[in-house]
Amino acid sequence: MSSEAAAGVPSATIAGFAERHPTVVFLVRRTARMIVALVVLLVLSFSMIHLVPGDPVRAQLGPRAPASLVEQRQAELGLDQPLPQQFADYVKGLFTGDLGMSSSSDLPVSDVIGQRLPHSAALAGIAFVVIMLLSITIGMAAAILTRDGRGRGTELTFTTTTGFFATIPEFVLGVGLVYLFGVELQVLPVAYEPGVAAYILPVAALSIGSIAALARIVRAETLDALGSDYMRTARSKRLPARLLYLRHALPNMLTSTLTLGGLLLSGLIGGTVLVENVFAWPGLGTAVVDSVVAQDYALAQAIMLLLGATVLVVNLAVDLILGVVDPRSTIKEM
Amino acid sequence: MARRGQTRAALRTPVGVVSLVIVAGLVILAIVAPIIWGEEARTTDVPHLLEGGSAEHPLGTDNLGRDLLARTLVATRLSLVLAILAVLVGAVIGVTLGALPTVLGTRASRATAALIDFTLAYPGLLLAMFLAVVLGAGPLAAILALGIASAPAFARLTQTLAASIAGSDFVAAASVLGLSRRRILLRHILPNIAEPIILNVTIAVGYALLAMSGLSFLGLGIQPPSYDWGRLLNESLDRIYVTPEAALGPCVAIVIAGLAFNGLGEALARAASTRVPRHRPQPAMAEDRPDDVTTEPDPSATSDAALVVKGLTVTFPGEDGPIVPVRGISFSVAAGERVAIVGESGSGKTLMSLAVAQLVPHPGVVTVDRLSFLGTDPNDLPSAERDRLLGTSLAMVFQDTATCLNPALRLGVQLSEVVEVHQRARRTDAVRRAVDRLRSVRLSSPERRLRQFPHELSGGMRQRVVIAVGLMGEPRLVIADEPTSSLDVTVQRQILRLLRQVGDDTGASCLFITHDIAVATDLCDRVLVMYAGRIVEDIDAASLWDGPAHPYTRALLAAVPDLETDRTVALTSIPGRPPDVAAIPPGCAFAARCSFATDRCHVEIPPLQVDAETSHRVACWHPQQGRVATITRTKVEAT
Amino acid sequence: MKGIRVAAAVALVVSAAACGSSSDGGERTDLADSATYVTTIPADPGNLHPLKTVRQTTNSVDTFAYDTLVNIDPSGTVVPQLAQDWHVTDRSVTFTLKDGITCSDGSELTAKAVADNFTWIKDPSNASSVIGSGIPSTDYTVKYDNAAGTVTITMGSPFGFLLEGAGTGVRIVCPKGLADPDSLAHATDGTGPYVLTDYAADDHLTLSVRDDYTWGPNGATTDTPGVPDQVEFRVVQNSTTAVNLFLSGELTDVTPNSSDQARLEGRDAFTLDTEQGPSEFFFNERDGFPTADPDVRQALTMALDREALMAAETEGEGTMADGLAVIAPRPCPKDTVSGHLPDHDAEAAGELLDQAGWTMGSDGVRSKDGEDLTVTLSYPTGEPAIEAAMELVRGWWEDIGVSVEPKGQNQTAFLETLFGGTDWDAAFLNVQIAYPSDFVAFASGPTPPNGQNFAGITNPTYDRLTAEAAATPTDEGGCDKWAAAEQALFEAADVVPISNNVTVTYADNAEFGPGIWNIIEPTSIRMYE
Repeated sequence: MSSEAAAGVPSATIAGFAERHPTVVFLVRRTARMIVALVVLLVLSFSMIHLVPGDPVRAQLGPRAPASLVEQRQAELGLDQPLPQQFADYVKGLFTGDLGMSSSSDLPVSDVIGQRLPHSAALAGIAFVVIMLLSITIGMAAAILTRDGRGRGTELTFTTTTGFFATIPEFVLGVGLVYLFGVELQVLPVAYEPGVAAYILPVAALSIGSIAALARIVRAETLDALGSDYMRTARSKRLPARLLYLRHALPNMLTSTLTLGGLLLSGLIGGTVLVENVFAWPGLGTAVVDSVVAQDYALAQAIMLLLGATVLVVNLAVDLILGVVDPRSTIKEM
Repeated sequence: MARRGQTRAALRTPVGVVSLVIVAGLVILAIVAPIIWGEEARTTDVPHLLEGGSAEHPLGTDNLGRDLLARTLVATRLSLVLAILAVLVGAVIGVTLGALPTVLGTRASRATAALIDFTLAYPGLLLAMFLAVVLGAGPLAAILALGIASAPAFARLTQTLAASIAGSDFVAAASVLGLSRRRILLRHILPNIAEPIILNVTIAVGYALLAMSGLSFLGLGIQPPSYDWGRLLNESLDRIYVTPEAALGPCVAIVIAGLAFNGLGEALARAASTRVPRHRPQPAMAEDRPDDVTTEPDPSATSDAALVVKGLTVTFPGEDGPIVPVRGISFSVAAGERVAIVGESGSGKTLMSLAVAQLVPHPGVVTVDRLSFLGTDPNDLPSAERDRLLGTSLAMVFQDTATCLNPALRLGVQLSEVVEVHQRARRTDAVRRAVDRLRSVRLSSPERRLRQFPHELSGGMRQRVVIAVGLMGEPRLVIADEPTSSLDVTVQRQILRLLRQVGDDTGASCLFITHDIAVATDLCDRVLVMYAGRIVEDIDAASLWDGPAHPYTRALLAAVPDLETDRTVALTSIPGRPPDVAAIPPGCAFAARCSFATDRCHVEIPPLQVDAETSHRVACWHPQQGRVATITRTKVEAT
Repeated sequence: MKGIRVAAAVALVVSAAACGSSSDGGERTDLADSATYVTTIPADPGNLHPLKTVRQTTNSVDTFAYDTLVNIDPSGTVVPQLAQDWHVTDRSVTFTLKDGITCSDGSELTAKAVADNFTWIKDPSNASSVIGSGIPSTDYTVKYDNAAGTVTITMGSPFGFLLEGAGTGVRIVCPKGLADPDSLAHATDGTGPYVLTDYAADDHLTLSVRDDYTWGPNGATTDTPGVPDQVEFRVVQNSTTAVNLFLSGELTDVTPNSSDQARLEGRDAFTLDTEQGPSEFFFNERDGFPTADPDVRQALTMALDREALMAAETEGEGTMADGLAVIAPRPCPKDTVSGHLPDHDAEAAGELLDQAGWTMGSDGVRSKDGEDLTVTLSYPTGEPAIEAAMELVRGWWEDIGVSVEPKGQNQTAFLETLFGGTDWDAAFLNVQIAYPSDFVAFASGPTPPNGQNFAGITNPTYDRLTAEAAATPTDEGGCDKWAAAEQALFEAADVVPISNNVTVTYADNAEFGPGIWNIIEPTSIRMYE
């Protein structure tokens, strides 16, 4: 970024450019910000995991392993190098696609992640779509039914039901769902297996709480939108309900809902840790906890980086989508 | 004071009451439970470990044979303290971080904002896990972890709130006075955002309880021998198929506490919200109008009148019986006639116009003895026909140009949808008509405008677009509710000129609502003066300056500002205030402010009486005559 | 969360050998042909190379694909597997291979190939994990004779369990795999009854039977009715989930944790008990620590109600510890504990502390020379039962005037604390060893980082008796000498064993028996319709 002092002609040109191409400037700024965030994430993930007390090699080999064997393993994993050197090697490895060896499984980290990521991504992805679709539908419907203080009974039912599901821990919900549908009724698989059926319970466990929480927000946003002047204008045009709500109200509450949805994804990643455990899901969630506890540096670093980067990219994507849906959002950034 | 009253009102709602009772109960439990059940919760009984529910141990026993019910009760204290501390840590960090952009320079504040964005995006549970492992699992780590993880949300909230406050008038004024940024932050911004922050703290406590149980589920929360609900749940969840009651206790506790804190927070938030206060429907909600509302006499309507209204009443349910902001109004608008409705804020003029347009929001109830729009009562029509009639023949122009167009839709859609829906026009025809109408409201390059969004236009341009929207059908009546009050003076004149020209071009009637009697006389043929939900005078614009009869109309005239006065500010020069719409006094509502008032005025409502010759109507026991003495009469140029 | 505990707890399993007693669900004749045996493992096994892993999870898979030279039957008798015969001296063992043993790729297993395994293990650059678990050190030489089919391992110093260590502690890898260790990460190249045919990370592994396998323990072959065609391991971290899967018929067997066990008790199923343990107390005996004083250790031990502690720690499913090496088949099946630990007597414990000069203060805490008697009790977290048991211990010790600071840490940090040596006074941990000799490194010799004597134990009686025992083969009274050595540790309150945990494996349509390393013997599985 050119400093203000160097102003004069160039900065005027830049300002002119920004005025004519707000989208381009928005894109460049957002991307630059994301790259900075990624670098911060890289340093953080590396330094944080090395702060964890304990010797991972000793932990892995057990108390009986002779000191020479421990040293040998440490050398193999590069853990005998000074930290800056380890960091340099780590960054170099990132660019050459070599993420190192996972000390707990003795396998290349890229393999470990590569095999698990698709399962977690499928679970989180489906849950995300389900959450967005259902929470927007339910939240909007509730808002329409309870607008202007109508339907007090509906409102009470809605707030208590969503409040309940938003408050119940997802692992408890998961266990409860398994108990009911898997063990008692035996209609759905209790753990991972290939096929669609196995997804139903974990997706439900993962999404019900978020649907409830997000539906409340959607309702509040929709109520705000419905009470707005432009909705009165739209009503004065005597538009059918379909256009009134879908064309006029929906895009306006999407801004905050999508922003929250992007944030929700980071919550989902946390949720998968708990839910994957309950459903024996072959995903990254379990690896997250295990690698941190076992101080599997290479694996933990890589997962942290991957999850953090995913969240950043998704949020960037949300911002870009918003830029299209609600053009005001790009202006605000200026 | 009003705030506190609102808060109390919110807490009277069922959700508010229940939440408050539960939260209070939990606090009491947190204080007394360790004293009452502490001993029982500590007593080990190894031979009876991990038993299911029994008369002696309703929830069973834990892995040392201790009573789980007692432990669940005793755990209340630690669970609440941990959750509250975690939220406080988060709030302190978050508010500090969020307030920084206000006091820092542009670049630094942008960096802080980016930092908040980034931390907000990072998975909180992961952060918590790492902190718990780095610091060693335990209460300190859990509090810090959850606190830090919740800080970004508070930071974002503070940032948004502070930004909106920072942009407000009094902060701008403080800046002009040369106060330092820090001082502005501490003196002006923080006190103003304290309330929403506190509400969010309340809600966050509920979620912190939940998050803490997640940490405990991963074994990263509270460590033995301490125990909170999360740890109790974690320990008994393994046994859920064998002794489900063991997990039930802490689970129910977490859910109930979470619900209660959320419910309380939301009830408070609703009370503090600046939105339109909610109307509580009372069982005694009257379909009938109250006794003191009488229908005004028949308006003198011509046979081709665009609008005839008789006995129009709008009722809202209120805490102490129905509130009636519009009270039995009768008037008519002839074809091509321009009628102004003048009155102070709260006189019911806007609500009256909404009632005519059938746009009164729930739970308002409109009753009318007779309503005739272009010769038919819209309420007699099937809904589709009514929509078509009102959608194409009635045009509405609203006050706030910044908000009355949909910010997320291109202007093209907002213009063309009227004819596409009501006249089944094809898209191309609709677009052609939209271009034509934009041209007729004197908007440059109309084709390009169709692809633009409202925010890309100035206020005056937006108001032209709104008028163009009204012109898309075949408007016979334009209801314009203070269409110029949000615009600056030069633009005001242009819009007024446009409105007059639209009337001339289309022959449509116009109902022009304003608090500015000078504008009213200039633009309109006739002026209706409203006070406290009633018409107090109905007079030709031409004869207005020669002598209105009602003291209120005369007071309005006397207060007409000259050109240099800011006309967006409500008239203040009439002594006293209009009566509260919920408590309109008996007799003439204006009596309290009227220098001509007698005892009779305070007792008997003066009827609206028609002068058969001039069709001049006035409702006053002591009508006045002659020109208004002290007016600084400066005619507003509207041409 | 049980899974995390299990995965991390593997670090503490020094080496493990097999099972307890088995009960029978009734005589059955409906043996199934070409069935699939489906069981669970708590975590992905990772790299399957058998000479590089210490993980129980990985070992339980490798057992099916890699045979060892000898095996041990449920009665504790060493029986032939790859070796048909063997000869043992106090520091050497010579194995004579069976004829006609083939690798899974069809090539024949030679004496050289077997010897190469031992040579490979010795090479420090291979960082084999067998050193320290199967074979005590790299101080050995290997000789072989291809014509005679013999392999001889000679240790530099006497080692009484060389036959068991070398014979069952080293899974023999075939030449091709040994030459290319990376190829064995997700494939197998051994002489066992099964070959890995399918691997899905974190989800499942499938092994298929070898039809030509005839060299199993006691002559077992895969040509026997009821032997499963396929063995599938499913990765299920959560015990409750595993039981759910078992109840919905997707698993052949399941080994639930104690709380889920109640769901299966009373079921008409085949069961197999497995004993694990013991869990025991160590005291920091370095200079300057109060527990360096034998009276303090003795008093702390007397304050323990070991029966109640056992019940709490095993959630009522365990037994009292009766030795240091309790994993069946036990090489020395003698109760070495009873009568050698003091009875629970808090009053006597207090008197002992009085005698040792620790006088009771007004605040209920004893002190000596102005120092409070404070004990940091270190233990691993993640298992509610252990954490609860530690609460009991804390209460008992506080009752006799000891100020207790509980210090629960995750497995990694716990080991770090233990080996760091300065931040703990008493530690409760589970040390699973296969042979009494495995314990020597923990109870004698240098402290970390130069050795494994993390508690700084100096017990001359133990040192003398273990030296004698090491030189005495098992069948010449070695076990008695080992028992006497262990008892010397108990009597000095250097080590206080508490409990053995018993797990139960349930199977609906299968039967099997215990093998080495606490793992089901692959050739013992019989499937029913």
